[in-house]
Amino acid sequence: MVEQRSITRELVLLFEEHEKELIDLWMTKMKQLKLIKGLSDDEREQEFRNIYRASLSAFKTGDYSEVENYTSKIAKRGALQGIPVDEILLSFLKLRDVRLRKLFITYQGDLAKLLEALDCFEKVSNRIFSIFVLALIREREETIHEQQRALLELSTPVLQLRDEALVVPLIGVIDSERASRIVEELLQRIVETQASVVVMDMTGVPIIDTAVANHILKTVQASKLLGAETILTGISPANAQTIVTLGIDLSMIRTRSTLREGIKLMHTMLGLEIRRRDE
Amino acid sequence: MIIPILKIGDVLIVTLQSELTDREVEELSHDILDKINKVGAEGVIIDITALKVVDSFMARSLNSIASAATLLGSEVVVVGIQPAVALTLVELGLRVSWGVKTALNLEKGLEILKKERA
Repeated sequence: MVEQRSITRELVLLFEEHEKELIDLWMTKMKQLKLIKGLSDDEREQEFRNIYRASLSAFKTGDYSEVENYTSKIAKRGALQGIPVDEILLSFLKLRDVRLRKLFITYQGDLAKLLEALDCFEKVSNRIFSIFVLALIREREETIHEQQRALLELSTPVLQLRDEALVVPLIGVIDSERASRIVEELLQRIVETQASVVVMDMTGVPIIDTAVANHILKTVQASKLLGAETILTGISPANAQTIVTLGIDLSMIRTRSTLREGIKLMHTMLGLEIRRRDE
Repeated sequence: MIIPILKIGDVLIVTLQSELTDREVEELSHDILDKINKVGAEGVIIDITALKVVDSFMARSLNSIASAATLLGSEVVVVGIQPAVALTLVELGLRVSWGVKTALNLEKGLEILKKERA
């Protein structure tokens, strides 16, 4: 154990002493590989020095929190500036290579010592690498979650077309979470607008299975309880066939092939007539 | 609790102000059917705007009042169902069996009755 610690201290000293040299070497390699072009030379040098020191402190103290903070910061910025993930990872691996070479050069006369140093170095280095990857993945996941939330909010508009008529254009896959949002939003709007007819357009819904059909039935029934009739439009021929094959009974719902036909029916139900103005 | 059944023209209006016990629901159905018979009402509007909870017994009772009223030649419209109540009723599985006419509010309920008679 004492042996292990002394080699760690030796490595830390080595890397501290040769910081400038190693960073310069690293920079040169990166330039050759044309990595991280998005940053200016000064910015890059600053970043590299930060990474270098953060990882060194992990070496020194065995405490990885600084590395974790730093990597999550990098991951966020990478996402903002559009630096590809592979470039970030390759840069980090390059730093490892540069340090490894330094080890080989320093201990070239003493194989036992070299192996010992490698043992110590690899352990820390691999750990830092995994922290790096995790931070990047976490950042991606957050982005995906945000987009999902945005999609959820964007994709359930309820439009008022006439004084007493609403149109709900459904787009995308309908899962139970979305379905319940749609129902709630729709019922709310029915109360607000006192609508008596709702046209629900399914043109943008790729697949209708039993679950989706069930959601639609519930929506129609709930609207009915608030006194609004629903017209279902835009079921594609393929989906119509699926519905029949699955034995789903939608016969209690008024359906029309297209949104246009649905709106015509809506006018009839409202007792409206659209006429060209005589000139 | 006595629930008043108001008569305007040919229409009876019943407004429920609070949740009813099962017993009160039964009494109410009895009273409504009695009154329909007595005054020969053509329509009944049951306003449940104030109800935040409608259980399955209440829902079934409303349904049977409607069916019985039809036999007496009268149309029942339930008005003022709250969105949350509508969702609960649908989740309870009343999809097919519930044959009661519904409207958003009293005004629309009267319109429906007027249309039915025209």
